[in-house]
Amino acid sequence: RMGSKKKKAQKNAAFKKTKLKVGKVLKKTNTTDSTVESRKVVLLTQLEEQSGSSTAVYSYRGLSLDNLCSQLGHYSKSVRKNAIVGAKQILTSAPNLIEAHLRTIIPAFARLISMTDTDAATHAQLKSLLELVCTVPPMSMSPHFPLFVAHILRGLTHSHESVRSFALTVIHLLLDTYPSLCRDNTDIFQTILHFINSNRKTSHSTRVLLDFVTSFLKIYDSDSAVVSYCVEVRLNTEDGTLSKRIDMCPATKHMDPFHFPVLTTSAAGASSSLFTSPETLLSLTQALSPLVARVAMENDRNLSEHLVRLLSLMKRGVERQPNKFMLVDFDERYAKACDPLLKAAKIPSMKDNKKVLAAIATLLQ
Amino acid sequence: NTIAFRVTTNRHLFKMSVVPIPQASGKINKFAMTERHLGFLQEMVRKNPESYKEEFLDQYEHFMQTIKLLHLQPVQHRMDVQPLLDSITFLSGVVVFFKEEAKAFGDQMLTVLREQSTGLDPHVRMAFCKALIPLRNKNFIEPLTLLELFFELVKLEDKHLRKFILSSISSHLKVICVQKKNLKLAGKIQNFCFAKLKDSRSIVVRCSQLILIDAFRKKYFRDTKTANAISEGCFHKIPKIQVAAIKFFIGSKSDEDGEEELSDDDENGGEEEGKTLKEVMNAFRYAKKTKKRERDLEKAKKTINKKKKAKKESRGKECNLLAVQSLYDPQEFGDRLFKMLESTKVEKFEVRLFRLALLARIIGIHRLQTLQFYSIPLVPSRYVQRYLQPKQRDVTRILLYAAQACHELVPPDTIENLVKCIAYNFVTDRNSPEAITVGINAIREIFNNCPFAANEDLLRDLSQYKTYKNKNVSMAARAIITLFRQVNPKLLHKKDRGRLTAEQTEGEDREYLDFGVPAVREFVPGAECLPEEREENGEMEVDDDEEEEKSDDDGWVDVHHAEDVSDEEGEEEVEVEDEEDEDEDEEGEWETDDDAAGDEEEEGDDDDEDEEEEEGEDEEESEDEEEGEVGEKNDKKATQSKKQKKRLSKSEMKAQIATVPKEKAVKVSEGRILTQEEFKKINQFQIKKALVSQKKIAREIVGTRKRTLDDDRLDEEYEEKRQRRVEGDGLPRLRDIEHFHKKMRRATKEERMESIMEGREGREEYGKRKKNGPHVGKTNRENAKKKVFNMVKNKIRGKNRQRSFRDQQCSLKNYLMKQAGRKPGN
Repeated sequence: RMGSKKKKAQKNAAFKKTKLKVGKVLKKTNTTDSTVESRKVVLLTQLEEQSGSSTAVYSYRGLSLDNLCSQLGHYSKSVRKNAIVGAKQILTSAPNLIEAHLRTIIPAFARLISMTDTDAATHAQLKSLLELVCTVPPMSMSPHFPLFVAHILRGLTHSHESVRSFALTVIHLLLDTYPSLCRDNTDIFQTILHFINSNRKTSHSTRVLLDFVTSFLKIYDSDSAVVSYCVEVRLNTEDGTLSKRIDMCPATKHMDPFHFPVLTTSAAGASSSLFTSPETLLSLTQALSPLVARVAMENDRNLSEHLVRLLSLMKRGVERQPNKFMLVDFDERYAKACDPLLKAAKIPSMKDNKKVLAAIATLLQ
Repeated sequence: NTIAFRVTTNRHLFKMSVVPIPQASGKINKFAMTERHLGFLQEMVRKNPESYKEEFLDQYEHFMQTIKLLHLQPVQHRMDVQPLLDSITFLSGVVVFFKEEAKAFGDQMLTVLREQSTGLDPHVRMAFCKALIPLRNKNFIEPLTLLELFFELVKLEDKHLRKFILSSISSHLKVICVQKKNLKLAGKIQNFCFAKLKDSRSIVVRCSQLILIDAFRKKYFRDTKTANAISEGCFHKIPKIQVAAIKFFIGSKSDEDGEEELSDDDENGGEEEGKTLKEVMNAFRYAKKTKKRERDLEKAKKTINKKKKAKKESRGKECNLLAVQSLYDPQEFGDRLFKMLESTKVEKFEVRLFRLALLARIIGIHRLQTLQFYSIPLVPSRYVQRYLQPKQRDVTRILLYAAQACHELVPPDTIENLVKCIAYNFVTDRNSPEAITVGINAIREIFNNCPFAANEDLLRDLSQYKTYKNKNVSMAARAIITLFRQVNPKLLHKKDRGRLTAEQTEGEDREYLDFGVPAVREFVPGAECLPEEREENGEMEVDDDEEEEKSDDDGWVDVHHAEDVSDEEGEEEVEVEDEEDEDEDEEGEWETDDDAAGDEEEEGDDDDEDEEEEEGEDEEESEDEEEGEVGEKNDKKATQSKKQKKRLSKSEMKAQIATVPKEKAVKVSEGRILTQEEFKKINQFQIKKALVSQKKIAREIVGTRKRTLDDDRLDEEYEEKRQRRVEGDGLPRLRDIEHFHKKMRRATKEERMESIMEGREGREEYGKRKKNGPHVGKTNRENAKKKVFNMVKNKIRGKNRQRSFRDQQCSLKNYLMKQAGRKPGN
């Protein structure tokens, strides 16, 4: 009987009158059930790559450059290392790719500089990879340069010593390959000066450090720092003829297309000619002289050559300084900055090393 | 420990150490330690900021480089995020020790957040914001610039950030307004928020609205300016903002429903009363953990949380009323709301309902004249009536709003139409009993507010439902009768009118005599309970609470004392005839001060009672006559009181009691300015008086008809309601309208099962064994084997001894058989 009752109730369920309650919200009966059921589609095979037709380049392991770039961000050390090797192999086999893919390459590669868990072998691989990247002409590098430099400088201030050392080698590389670009970058000057000034240690030998400082000074020393594109032309106002044709091409030919003096800040402009500003010169001397003094005191014959080169560079900077008059107490401050050098020269053991002494003496004059 | 003996060193020496040279071992250790553990370094810097400046500067420099990188490339690789977060937490914890760096640090973060806000990783963004807070607290950053930045960041679609920003602003306000009392800055922030309320971006408006509402609730900005600024939100184009503003004024739903959270809490958490959550947790932590204690802890936690919530809610309650009361121009505000309600714009019903609720509340509280609101039932498109059908969704709420919007100053004809409409639509036999109940209840609430809208015909129709077979309906009808017995008995049928109370005969309790005719009084009713002259103490003008209380107490003690004396005299029958007479006279006619009065009355003279009964029966008797009587009595009283004064010259207090109440009330209320405490006292006195008179009437009715429990209940409810009208906003609540005396319906089996299942949730299942644990899967015998022998030895011994003689025989036999190499048998 119970069963039949239930059945009856079920049968009449559709016609049952819903009971109204005053002030309560009724459940809607005429709503549409909008839930969607779906089935999975399982692909048994991927679409076959049509070999030959595509121009894409793959590494030995069949990975494209984009794949490798994303693998460079992998948390596993070995995967990263393999990716570095793969990327190097691709880029050596197809050097034209570098220029085209700088936009993706630079952030992916430069990020690795400040990875803390990289071992020496990987560092070497990475260095050769970055050297490969630095074969790109300065013109095409220039838009990506600030980002690249920012990564390196970040590495230079890193708390890990290995990272710092590696960053130093990379920035050395940049100083050598792109002197003009480096010259225009204020950050480089400031940070490197700060770096020399601070007590940060690196695993490099003194020689490497001196080399680095020398090449750092060199970029500001080059004569091409001030290139004038002045053309003298005489305009005859009576018959409206020019004495000479003006050709604007040479002016723009060697220039960085992204470099407009109007757009860059005045700070960047000022630093581009380091030796024209007395303040920068002073701070540079202040930073360098303790270092030079210390190296000189070590009295290493092998280093004397480097020291002499460095000192001559410094001297040239002082000689060429045209704006000394802008600072009243320039001479005083300069002498103060050179004080450690003077002290070093007075040490008796220095007497053997005559070349260096002579260089110091000329500088102090 | 190696680090502890670091001394500030010569900078010059440090410059020398660019290239690694072997150094003192302490130094190298320090580098190795602090290089990786920023937290450790942070601790060290905190202890001695000066000597660890170099380490700090290194970290700081690195961070600055990172910021430069962030400007060029805001999106960081996910692996770089964590180190950055670490360095931010380190710097933010430490940077406050170094002034110059702190400023630059803050500025750098501000610029990055401003320029690269969208690109940054959400975690980094949050970390920046969190790091900025201590800088602001130490005044390295202008609070207003940070506030501005926060309002910029709010535009980002980042829920967590928004939440953080809102909470941080709120806590900042707390510091400013409560701890530091920096009103100038608070005012600036307030004005800033006001300006942001007019922003074109809706999310900005919403945020500043939320901040203001929160600040108002928490008393940081509790002023009319804020309330009015929030009120503008009711007309914002975004519905969500409208609703938030409206809800702010309406308050919580439970308040509207008339639920009381506190009462049931008190029952549940009786033992946990007064304990804080921390105490309970601590008690649990240090006690042995048992299941029962765990359960108790859960329960205690729940009740404490509930209490907290209730407290919060109740705090909200008072501020809603305050907010509504502090509107600058309620009439204009109401009109604007009404215009929005009337507009044909399609919007959600809930929003409309909210608006309706707010409008009703404002009309009710401010006594506005928005007559279209009640509107005519004949025009179907008109307002409230359009919704007044039993099948309408949320109709009880709409009825409630209709009742809330009714107040004494609405013309009776307007209300009459409304009531008629409700009566037609709800109170007819063809409707369900529920609908009828709701309808009658709503009408009762309306009449409670405007009694002059009632007419005799309708009222008699309604009161006929008192014999309806459904109890809910009949009780609702009887509640209306109870109401009108107090308010205007003449409209009721003769047999429904009941007896007049003393107050009614005096016309004392009425606020209005007719529509728009307020009852003017010459004195504060009930003022006779106060002593005629305030006890003079020199510092009366200064509100010295203690003094006040003292004098109050004295007053009370005096009264009681006087009465006690008279009581004793009555009971012990120390019969000084005149005195007794006087006492009884007094009580019979004037329903005096205390419950004791009621008690004495039973003993009172027959004459007096007769007189009263006569009064009750002759209801047509004009009040003039009564007043005449009163006058006579007054005279008599006066002479008697003189006598009494002479007789009881021992104490002046007794003399005070004896003076004629009305005269005394006039004298008291004319003679001085009453204080708040005195008004409180008067209120209590009035309540007592009413109670006494009611009791008396109830007692009298016993003779005629049996007084049921329901009668008591109705009276109590009426009294409660009257109390409520005096106390808060005086508006009816949903509970009044959805008031069913009997449960509407039994739950079906499914519903019961559902609730049972709900209760079972989270409970351990019966019958299933535990799968793991120290003793799982072992019998007690096995467990006993692992116990220390001393623990079980007695048990084993006992067991051995219990062996019966036969068992011992059997085992011996088996043993011998085994020894003999044969199988043991039974």
